Amino acid sequence: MRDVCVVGVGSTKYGKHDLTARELMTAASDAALRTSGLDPANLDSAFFGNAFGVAEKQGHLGPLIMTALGLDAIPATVVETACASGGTAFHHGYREVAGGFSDAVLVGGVERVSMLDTLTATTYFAYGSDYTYEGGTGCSFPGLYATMARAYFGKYGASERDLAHVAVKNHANAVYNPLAHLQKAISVEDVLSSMKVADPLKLYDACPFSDGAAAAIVCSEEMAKELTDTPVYIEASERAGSIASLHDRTDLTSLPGAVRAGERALAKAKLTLDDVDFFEVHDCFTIAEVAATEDLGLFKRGAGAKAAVAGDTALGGARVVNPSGGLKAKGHPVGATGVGQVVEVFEQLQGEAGGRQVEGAMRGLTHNVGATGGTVVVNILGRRR
Amino acid sequence: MGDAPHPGARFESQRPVMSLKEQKEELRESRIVGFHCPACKLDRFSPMTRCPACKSTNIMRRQFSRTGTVASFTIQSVASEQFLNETPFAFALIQLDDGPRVSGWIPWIAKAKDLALGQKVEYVASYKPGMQFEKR
Repeated sequence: MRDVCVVGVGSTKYGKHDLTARELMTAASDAALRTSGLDPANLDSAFFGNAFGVAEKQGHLGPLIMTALGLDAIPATVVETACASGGTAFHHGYREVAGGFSDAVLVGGVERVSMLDTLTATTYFAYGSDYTYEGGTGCSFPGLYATMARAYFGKYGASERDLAHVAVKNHANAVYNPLAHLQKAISVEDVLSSMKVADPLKLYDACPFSDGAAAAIVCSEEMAKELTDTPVYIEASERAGSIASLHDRTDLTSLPGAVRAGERALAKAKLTLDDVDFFEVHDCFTIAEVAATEDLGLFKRGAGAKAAVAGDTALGGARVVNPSGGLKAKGHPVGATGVGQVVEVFEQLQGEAGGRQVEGAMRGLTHNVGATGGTVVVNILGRRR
Repeated sequence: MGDAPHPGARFESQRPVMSLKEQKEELRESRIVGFHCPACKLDRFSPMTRCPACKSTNIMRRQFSRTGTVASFTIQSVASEQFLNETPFAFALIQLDDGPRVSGWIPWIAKAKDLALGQKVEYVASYKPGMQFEKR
């Protein structure tokens, strides 16, 4: 295993786009290639995350993107692990280089769903659940996380108002993120008075349906040093699973795969949480951010919601969580999200995050979840002094 | 090697003890039937060919009770296609009295205050998709 770096990133703005998935992914890939300075002739392979190609009636997306980039000879693979598709694509790019099979890999993720009506989008997202039992029993995606939220309230005594603070904090950060879908500040009252989607979760507890694409160039340390004086090292990239369906789990307040992947990533990188300056976690719903902060060990079980209320996860707090605005406010183009988290870490580590900059950030952790944790990807990226 | 069955025969001997189609047919007859590891006494409603605890592949069918309690729930105000005309309703994780947890839905529950954790419920066979429960 050799050291692997990220040398360039690219991203479209998240939101509503009139471009198709293949165009969005091509644009972000081109941006990543240009910023990296890598000669495209040195690229060996490509991995893209995409969950709902069915929405555009387009399969086999990889060669379409590579052809548009003028790199048709390079093999491309699309991976699907629901909302963790992007993180999984990144992980496989990392493995390619770490294992010596490729020297440079283009990784990306893309989603386009905004042309769907709410009913169709809700149905497609439910396909990411155990559709035989969960989706097919009427449960929407917010519904699954809502049952987790109610179980959390029952077990730890937290409230809807506590969760609202997560949304308020992430919107406040997104104001400073030009890529964000929802670049506006909101109040706790805005969250509490928004429409119930799946009680106890409301519209403002949920991430939006976003279009967008994100890309990164992953390469060997040797190649990275030829391209830049400030390479970002992938110090760990770990994946783990959980029991697929919520009804088969004992504890509804934790995603076991996140605990497993988080512990493994820290062990592989030989680091503790105190060595990490900020955390980009998968807050598809406010309760998901709370569960993430507890699964990763940032706070004790049952203390995550109160920590968000106390401001511990805000910029300047003890554990900065989602400076990008997270899925909640930056947006959630499903297949792109895991790579978009890497884009945020890269920008933060280069000191280019503007008003949401984590002061002196040298290391960031990303946490990307597929469905209710059936897949979890945790990456740790850092600069070396 | 020479005595190994051809791949097709091997597959036939390893069909699940119950297909999803057969499970659905049991539900139509008001029976909740799932999977069971006799060594661990572990029950599961979702397909299981290897026990997650002891890794045994000796998995049997088992009929569970039709009654249970609500372990957690939500009110679905926005639902997917098949349930478009049913909203609002409750989606619940139900702990069967003798058996595992299952995913179920309860019609006519419009507000969270109309249901509680621990509510006793019973399965009712229905022509509608999914497993339908009602309050006891």
